[in-house]
Order: sequence, then C-alpha cells, then structure tokens
Amino acid sequence: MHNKHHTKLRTKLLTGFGITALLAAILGGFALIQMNKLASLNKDIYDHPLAVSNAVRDIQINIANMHRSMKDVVLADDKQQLQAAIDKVNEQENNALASFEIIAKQFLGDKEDIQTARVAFLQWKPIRQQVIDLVNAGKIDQAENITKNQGAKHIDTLNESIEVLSSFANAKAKEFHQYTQIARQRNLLFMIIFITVIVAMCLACGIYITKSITQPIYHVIEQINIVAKGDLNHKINMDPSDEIGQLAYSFDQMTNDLKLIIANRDELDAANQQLTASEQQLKANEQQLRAFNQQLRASEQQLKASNQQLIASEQQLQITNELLQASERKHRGLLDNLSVGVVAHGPDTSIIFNNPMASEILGLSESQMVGKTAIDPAWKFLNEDGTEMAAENYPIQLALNKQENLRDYIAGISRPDKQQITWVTCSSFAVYYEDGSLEYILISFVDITARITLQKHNQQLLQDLQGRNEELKSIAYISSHDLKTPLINIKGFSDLLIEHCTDMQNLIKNENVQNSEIDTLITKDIPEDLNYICSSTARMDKLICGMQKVSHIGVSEIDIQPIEMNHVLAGIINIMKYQTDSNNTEIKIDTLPGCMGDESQITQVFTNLIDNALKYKHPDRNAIISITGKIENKRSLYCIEDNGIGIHPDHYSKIFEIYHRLDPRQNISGQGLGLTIIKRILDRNNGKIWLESEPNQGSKFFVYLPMES
Amino acid sequence: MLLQTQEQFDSKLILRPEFVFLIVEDEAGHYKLIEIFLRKKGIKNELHWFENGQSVLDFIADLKSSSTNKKKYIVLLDIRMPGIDGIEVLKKIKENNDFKDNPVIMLTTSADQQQAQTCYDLGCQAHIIKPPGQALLKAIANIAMGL
Repeated sequence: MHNKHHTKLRTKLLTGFGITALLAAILGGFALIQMNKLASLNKDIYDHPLAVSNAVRDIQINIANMHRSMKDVVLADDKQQLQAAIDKVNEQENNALASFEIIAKQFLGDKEDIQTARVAFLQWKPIRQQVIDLVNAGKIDQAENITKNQGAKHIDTLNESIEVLSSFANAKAKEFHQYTQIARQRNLLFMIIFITVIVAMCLACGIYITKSITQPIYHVIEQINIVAKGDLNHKINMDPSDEIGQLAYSFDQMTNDLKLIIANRDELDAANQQLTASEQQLKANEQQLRAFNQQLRASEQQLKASNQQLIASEQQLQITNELLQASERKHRGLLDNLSVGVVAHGPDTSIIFNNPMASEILGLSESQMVGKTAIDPAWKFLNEDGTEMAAENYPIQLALNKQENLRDYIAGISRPDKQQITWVTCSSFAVYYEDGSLEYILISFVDITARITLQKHNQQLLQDLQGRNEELKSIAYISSHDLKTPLINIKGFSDLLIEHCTDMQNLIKNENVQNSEIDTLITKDIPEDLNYICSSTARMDKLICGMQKVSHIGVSEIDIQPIEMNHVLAGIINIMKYQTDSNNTEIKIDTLPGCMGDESQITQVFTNLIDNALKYKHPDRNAIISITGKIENKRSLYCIEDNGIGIHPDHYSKIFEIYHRLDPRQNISGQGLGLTIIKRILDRNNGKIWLESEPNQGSKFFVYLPMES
Repeated sequence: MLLQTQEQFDSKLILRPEFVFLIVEDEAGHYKLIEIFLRKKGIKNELHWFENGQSVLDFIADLKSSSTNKKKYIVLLDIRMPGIDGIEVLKKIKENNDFKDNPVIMLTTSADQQQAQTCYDLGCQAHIIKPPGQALLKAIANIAMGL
C-alpha cells in the first residue's frame, strides 16, 4: 500500500484503464465463445433431427404418391396415360431414394434401421414391376388385385419401418432442444455472475485509483495552506518519486526561495539602518577626535615638564648606583668565602651565577654552569636510595613547580670525574619582582657526604644486628621448647629414681619383704629411669651441637667468589655415589649458570637438598632428581626437582624452622636441621629458597643466588 | 608410694569411671611421667596414648559413628609435635561438632603468654606447663566437677 503511493499518476491511470479494458475483453471473449456454442447446438438440431424427419416425411409423401400413381397405372386408359403414370412412379421412386441418401448421411441412430427401411423400399420394386407387366399384358384385374393387396400391404410395412427412423429423429430433436435449454440457462447465470464480478472489480479499481490520486493532492493542499498562512519554514516533505511528490518538492523549493528572498530583504533593511547609524557615529567620532587633539596638545606640554624632572632623577640614580656597587662587592666577598654552595637560577632554570663552593661541590666550573639549562648527561642527581633522579625531581625543578622553598632536600651527585657520590642537602629561596613575577631562585648546597656515609654504614650495622637478634630469638625459642623436652624427662625420671631408691632402702630394711618386689625395682623400674635420663642427656647434647652448627653459619667468615655450579655438583654427586647407586637413583644435571657465593657453604646447600630428595623418596618408585638452572632478573635461579613424597602447602614455611620434621610416622634419620641450615646459608649469601610441591608427586626447591659478575 | 606427705594425700582424686583420658604426646618419657603422675594421684581411669596429632584425630573421627558411646573424654594435648602440632589438633577438635564439647588440656614445655592466649581463644580448658603437677590435677578436678 505504502509503495503504491510512490507510483506515478500516469502509471496508476494506465493500470486502472488497462485492467478495465482487459476485463471487458475477457467478458466479450467469453460471450463470443458461448454464442458459438449455441449456434453449433442449433446447427446440430438442424443437421440431424430436422433433416432426417424432413427426409422421412418426403419418403412418406413419395411412397403415398407412388401408391396413388400405381392406381393411376392400373386405371390408365391408354398406352400414353400408362407411360405417364409409370414415369411418375419412377420419378417418385427416385425422390424417395434421394431422401434415403440424406437420411443415411445425417442419421445418428442405428444404421441397421435405415438398411431395413431401404430393403423394404427396394422390395416394393418387383411388386410394382409385376403390376406394370400385368397392365401391359392387359390383365388389369390381376394388377388391380396385386396393387390393392400386396402393394397396399407392403406400403404399410414400408411406412412402419420409416416411422422408426422418424420417431428416433424426433426423440433426438427433443434431446437437442433440452440441451439447448440447459446451456442457455447455465450461460445466463454464468454471465450474470461474471458481469457482476467484473463490474465490482472495475468499481474497486476505480475507487482505489481515485483515492490514491486525490489523497496526496489533499495532503499537498493542506500543507500549502499552512505555508499560505505565512509559515515559510514549513516543509511538505513528500517523497518526490511521483508527480504529486515532485509538485510538493517544487513547492518546498519555492517556499525556500521565497524565504531566502524575504531574509535577504530583511538583511538589506538592517544593513541600511546600520549604515545610517554608522554615519551618525562617524560624525560623533570626528567631534571626539577634535577634542582629543586639544587634550594631546595639553599633554605634550606636561611631558616637557616631566622630562626636566627625569633628568634630575637620573643624576640622583647615579649616586645610588655607586652605593649599590660597593654593597655588591661586599656581598660578593661573603658569597665567595661561604662554605655553602650557592647557585642562582633564572625563571627558565638557566644558571645566572654561582659561588666557588658550588663549583667545588657540584664539580662544575663557572663556565660549565652560567647561562646553561642542560649539562653533561654523565652528570646526574641521585635519589636518597641511590637510584637516578627523575628530571622533574631536580632541586631547581621542584622549587619552580612547588612554588615554595625547599628545605633540607637530600640528593646525591654522580659526577663523571669522581667515583664516589657526593651527598648534599638543598634549600631554595625564591626572589620575586615587585609585581609578583619570579626574578630568580637561589639554591644552596651543603655537602653532607660524610654524614650520609656514616648513616649508611649504621643502617647496614642495624640490619646485621636485626638479623643476629632474630637468630638469638630463634635460639631462645629452641632452648625453651626443644631443650626443655629432654630436661623434663631428666628431672621427672631423676625424681622417680630417687623415689625408687628410697623404696629400695625401705624394702631392704624391712625383713618381711619378698624378693620379687626388690627384683622389680632393680631389674625394671630403676634401669628404666636411668635409661630415660641417659637418652635425654644424649638428645640434649645433639640439640646443642646442632644449634652450634646453625649459629656457626651466622658468625663464620665467608669468602664470596664466583662459583662454577656444574663443578660443585659433580663433586657432590661423586661423594654421594654409594648412596645413589644403592638406591637406583637417577640424577640429571643440566648445564648450569655460575653464581656468586661461599663455595663450601653453597656446596652444603646443594648436598642437603639432594640428601633430602633421597631421604624423602617415594617408597613405590626409584628416585629421579633433576637439577636445572637459568639466569632470571640478573640472578641465577636453580631448581632441584624430585619425584618423592612431596610436601603439603600448609607446611611450606614450617619446614625451614629449626628441628622441624614433617611426618612423625616416617622413620627418617636426621635432626630437622638440613633446611634450617640451607636457609641461613642462603641468607648470608644474599640468596633465597622456596618450594613448590604436590603431595605424592614430588617437590621442586628453587634457589636464587647472585649472578656471576 | 609408701611415704606420702599430707599434701599428696589430700590431692588424691577419684573420677567417675566414664571419664577416659586421651593423651597426645610424641615424647615417650613425657607420656610415662604423665601416666605415673595420674596413677599416683589415684586416677584409675582408662588412658589412651597417641604419639602424634593425626592418630588422635583419626580416633575421634571413628568415634563419631558409634552414637551409643556414653564415655566422657579428657584430652591432654602436647603442643610442639612434628607433623600436625597441638594447636592445630585443638582447632580440628573444636571444629568437630560431635566431639567439641569434650574438654582439652594443653601441655607445653615453656610459659609462652601469647601461645596460651591462642589456646584459650580456641577453647581449651587449661594451658599447663610440663612436668605434670598440681596445676594439671586442679584442671582435671575442675573438669570432673563440671566447672
């Protein structure tokens, strides 16, 4: 529906009339076909029943005539009359035969019937011939007799057989008539319906087309009315694909042009008014100019007076200047001999001046500094932690950006001509012009290298001290917990021993005593007490030895040297050969990077790690230990991987505690010192150890050590 | 055993037989000392010795299934043990809804205030320093009286 709005009017009209014409043509064609049908039916009626019945009637007439002519033959008076009568009979006979031909051609019924009638007719011929012969012989009576009896009889038979044909033809005629009647009624009904449908379709088509033409026109009229009422901004905005749309589009353009024309006219009016106003202003300006001119002249005179005053001032200034120069010389002397470095920067950070101390501290000569904003890239400031300082944190930049004075800002100076870092504290002081704009920033540097060096040394000492303190704390913990365990045994069983001894004394004194009681005391109780006491003292001894071993790591001298790791491991494997061979252990060692450390201590680290891997091997499989290494983040990273019993993540940190062993049910030799010693050694060698493990699968111990330099 | 001071005599303790002691102690000597101490104090109740934390937890887990159990358990729990330590065992006991109402007495070798506080926060009945003595007896007496 929507699309049809876009078809052109011409198309619409053509389509409408085309459809109507087409429908009319269909109607006419149909009517023609129906008329043709009626005509053919009519022809059938004529061709068959009518022709047959006519022929039958002719035959009947001819037969009747023949019969009568035969009478004439019998009654002929002379030879002439007789011949005339015979000719007549022959003629009528031929007529009847011709009629038979017609019937034979047109008859639609059984052809047998025609044959019967024809045979009957032909049988008549001998009878007739007999009569004629008899008449010729003069036997009139006999002839008359034959005519009256045989002839009349035969004619009846003839008539009967012909009647069959006639009645069939009549029936057929009736049938055709009925056909025609039915066809007529049917055609009539059909034509009425067909005409009604076509009229309705034509009407619908007409109404639709009319509507589709008039509606957009009404719409356009409505829109045009709006514009006509003065709203030039209104647009019809129709799809310009049909004639009305084009009309609307043209109208819109016209409206637009009109608007532009009106706008131009308005502008013109405004410009005109402005022009008039400008003209008036010009006149006013001219008057003002004249007034200014007068004022200018007055000012000129004033200026001349001022000039004279200025010359007087200049003389005074010269005197002041001389005083100032003297003052500067004094200040200069002060600055030159100050033990603080002073640098003055302009607002663009360029150096205006510096004193000799500044040159000395910064390691830059006056010529290297004055007038410069950028200096030798090998020269740089450092942060307090020794890292390179970002340019925006340079003292002058901070002083400029923060807009407040720096106080005791600590910075290091790395100079290309000096190995050691110079440390300074910086303070800044900004000097402003009277109008508030920055004149220069004064930055002073105090050399505090000695103080910082001392501080750093102290910090290192403090760190070491904290480490020792931790160590002490852990030893205290061990002594309070682990050493107390055997001590409690010793005390408890000593008390029992005393008790048992007292019991024994009392038993010996008592004479009624049974030997079995003394026996129990001597063979069971007292030895048990002593056994506990002895084993506990042995335990204490072991623990104290272990502690000594651990604390020894903290105090022994270490010699940090480059270590060739593959060499170290080859040595370890060689020593452990008996152990590994008897266990069917497979040890795989990659090419490992070197590292820095104390060789004997690092050897112990790896010995302990491999020893642990062997101790905690999985009972169901041969141990496979693989050692790999790489450089990561400028450090050497080693990984010792085994396929042993593994460690639950909950225990990762505990296993490094002194005397800690994980599974009490496993009867594994050792004191729980191995990992503690490893951790302490790595602490001292700037290394680190951690692990990843999956219970029942195996463990991976990772060791970090400083990279070989 | 024959010569008993007045004090020792007074501190004899007889418990109802439904009390059963579960003693978790990795050190055989310490267990022996505890056993001798309890027997000396007249306690004739059943004693079960567990050499590590896991075995007592296994025992407790098996108890859960027998609901007809009318016994009352007193757990004496050593703190520093290899594997699962006493504090962890205490935590697991208090997480066990069927067993958490049974009293637990922690046994330790040294006075560590922070450790004691941790144990009390976790719900132990007492925190006692070894060797076993009057403090342990007092704690057991308190439990027996339902204090």
